Amino acid sequence: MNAPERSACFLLDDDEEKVEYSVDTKVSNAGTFTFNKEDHTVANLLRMQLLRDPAVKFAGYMHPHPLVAPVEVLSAAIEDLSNETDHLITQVTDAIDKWKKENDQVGLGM
Amino acid sequence: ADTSPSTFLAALRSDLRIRVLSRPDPRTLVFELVGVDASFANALRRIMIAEIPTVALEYIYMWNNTGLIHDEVLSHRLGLVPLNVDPRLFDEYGLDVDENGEAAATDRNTVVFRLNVACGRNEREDERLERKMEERWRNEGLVRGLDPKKANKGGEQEEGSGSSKKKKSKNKKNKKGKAKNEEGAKEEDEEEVEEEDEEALEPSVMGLSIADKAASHAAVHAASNANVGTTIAIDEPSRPFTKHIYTHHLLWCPQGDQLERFPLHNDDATTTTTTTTTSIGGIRPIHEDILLAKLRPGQVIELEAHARKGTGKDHAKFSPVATASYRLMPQIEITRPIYDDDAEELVNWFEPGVFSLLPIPSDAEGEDAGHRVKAAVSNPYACTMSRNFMRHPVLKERIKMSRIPNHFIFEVESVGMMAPGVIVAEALKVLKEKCERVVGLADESLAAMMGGV
Repeated sequence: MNAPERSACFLLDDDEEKVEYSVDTKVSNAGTFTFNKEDHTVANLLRMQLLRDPAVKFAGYMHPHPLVAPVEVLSAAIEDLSNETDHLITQVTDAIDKWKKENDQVGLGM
Repeated sequence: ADTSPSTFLAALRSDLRIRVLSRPDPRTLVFELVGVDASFANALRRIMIAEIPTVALEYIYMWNNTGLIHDEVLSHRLGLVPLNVDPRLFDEYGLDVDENGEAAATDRNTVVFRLNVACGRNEREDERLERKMEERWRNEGLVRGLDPKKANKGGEQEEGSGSSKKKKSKNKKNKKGKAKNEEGAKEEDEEEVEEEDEEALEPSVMGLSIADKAASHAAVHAASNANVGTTIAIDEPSRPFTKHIYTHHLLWCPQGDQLERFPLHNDDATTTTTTTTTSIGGIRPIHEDILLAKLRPGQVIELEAHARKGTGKDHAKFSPVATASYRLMPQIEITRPIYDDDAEELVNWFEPGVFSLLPIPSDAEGEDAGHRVKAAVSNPYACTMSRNFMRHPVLKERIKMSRIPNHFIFEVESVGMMAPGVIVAEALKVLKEKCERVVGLADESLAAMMGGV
């Protein structure tokens, strides 16, 4: 009866941005990325990838109940966070390209 | 270990393996993925289930429903019917916006179906109703599916009537839909029907002739037992005629250029589209024999249904997989050798093929000496981790069972609109898009923040 629309779990509200970043005041070199209307699919993947980066000291994510709040990814990094995210894009994209190539080779398609 | 990005990528390149293991049937794919993290495999699985768009019936316009199935229940059932249309050929609804800001339903983003069925008072009248509207629907270009049971029988009918017409069924068949729209026409039709019925009935009492008909039904049913008719389920003379509405009653209304993009086929040609064989072509549900509703004499269903593209996240009807799952490859270690009777028991306690018995040559030395056979792990892939061996006092000391943490065995069962391999490929594309978008946006917001600071 009180259940929200199913589409509310993946469509952004009017006043929401997809990604918001805020600096953590209490810890140096730490910040919080808030991804609105995302779920474990991407969040966990991102967290695992961040943990592989030696420059990252701490990375974790919270996904509170959908009736409460959006997903938050907490990350701490030394030096440039932007460099790091660049690496992430390249890594995951390259990995996926490679997978796709392997797919074609092996003939996953019918 | 050095885990900087470049070494990670290099390690990934050398360790990563994908291999198709088996295809138990055209809609199922089993493949293994080695060298990735669990979060990647899980992301892939989640995307296959929830984020690959599919086309399914979304908006139902109910014009008339005097059947027992409630409007919303019938609409729900219609939504769950899987459609045999490749979603990559369609656009998302809501992208094409006109000047009022409203999204337009075009032939590129909507598939239109209609259901127009009415139940006659008995089987003969019902058939007559069906045949009556044949011509009209053919002229309007609406496409009805082939009833699979009738198609298998070669168009043979219980009463042996109309079989030749059934064979030619393609763009045919409606049930009195138009007649019900206008009062005058309806009356005309009814009168007509009554006259014909009276002629056909024997001059004696009504009840007797119905019983006669039922008896002849029973005889025919006994004869064609393997092919249960689509209309009568239970054979009792007193039971009123029940019409079963299946998905083959759904009429596809091709819009715009849909007929060119999804052409119909001749009766002779059978085409395999993705994983189904259809002799009609066009856009049809994947299964033509899904029961949607049941009607009694005089009841009518008239509705129009629009299909749109959506994702499993929104509603499970949009999920392209029956399910997609993965398990980790089991790892079985024999810590101390297992011989003879224990070995034979072991082979039986596991799934066939997991363990094999190695005969020991008579001149063996050391621990092996004096034993007949020894157990060895030969196919851990078949193991389902039942841990049955733990009940055995000897075996439980000598076997260690675990899982290889980065070796995933995926099983993807497609619903039928896309081949399972295609679904996996699409999932990878969606994952790549998500990563690029999300990480790119993170970059942007960071830059904005830094710029501000």
